[in-house]
Amino acid sequence: MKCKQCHKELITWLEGSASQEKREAVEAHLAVCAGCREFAGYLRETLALAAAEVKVEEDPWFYTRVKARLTWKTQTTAPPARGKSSGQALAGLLQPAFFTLLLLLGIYGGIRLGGAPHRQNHPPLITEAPVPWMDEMNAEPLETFLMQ
Amino acid sequence: MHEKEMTDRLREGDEEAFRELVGEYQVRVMSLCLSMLHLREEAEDVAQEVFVEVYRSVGRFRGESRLSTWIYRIAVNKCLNQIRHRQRRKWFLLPGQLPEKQRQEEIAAPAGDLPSAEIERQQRLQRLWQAIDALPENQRKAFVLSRMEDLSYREVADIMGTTLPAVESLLQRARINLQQKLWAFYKKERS
Repeated sequence: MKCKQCHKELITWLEGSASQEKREAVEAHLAVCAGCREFAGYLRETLALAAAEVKVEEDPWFYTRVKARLTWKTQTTAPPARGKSSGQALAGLLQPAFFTLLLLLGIYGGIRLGGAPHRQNHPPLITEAPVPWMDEMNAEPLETFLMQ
Repeated sequence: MHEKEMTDRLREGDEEAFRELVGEYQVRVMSLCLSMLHLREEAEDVAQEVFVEVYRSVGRFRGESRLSTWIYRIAVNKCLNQIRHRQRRKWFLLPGQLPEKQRQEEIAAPAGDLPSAEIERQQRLQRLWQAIDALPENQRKAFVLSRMEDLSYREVADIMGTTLPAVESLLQRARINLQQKLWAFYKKERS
């Protein structure tokens, strides 16, 4: 038996539910393979941990808590005498109608906002000062300026 | 008390019979819930729900299976519903509120006071729960009922509403899957 095959059979072997042939093969492999022997020990310990972890002690107050829950559930979810009341039926109709209306309003509002033209009725915040054209005739020549 | 007599008294709403039933099955139901859910508080909550359901629907119990099988079936279904509910709720929770995180915090919180052997024990347990949780639903059910609850293959088949060969096949696949996952954890630990 190879290590891979041994690993496949290990949990069954640990549970004691392997056939005699497989049990003997696993045991023969474990006798010669230290790595698999160590892994088998790891598996045995881990599975035993889980079994110990889910061990439960009897709780003397458990019944009291179940009874309290049962009473609470009976009070809060008591079924109406004859099917649904008219108020519940109305609420069942009105609620989806309200949300549908809300959704349609949202879509309509979105379309209106999206298609609205950009109007600017207010005066512009920054007034643009006109850029004066350069009048070369009136401008003082650089040579005259330097001579003075 | 005979099972038939117990069922009849429960159907009549006999409170004493219900008390006896809870007393008889609470440890087994709680242990099963803990094996499936791994969180003590959540397991206790679901176990209570199981008995509420038993009390309410005992009128529908036809007696075709054993009472214990019927109770186990309710418990398994409630646990699976809780797991599904947990998975759905996961999308709306903050990272610190996730059950896996809670389990990690339960381990990490007292780490300062615990000896390293205890921390290692808790971490190993955490890895095993992860490996069990990662199994497909039917394999997980079969493994928990057979390995953790020590039920016979026949009882597991009755609870799961399947055949004996199907249970054997599910268990075999569950063992191989678990072994592969635990081997990966083992290698990681050793490296």
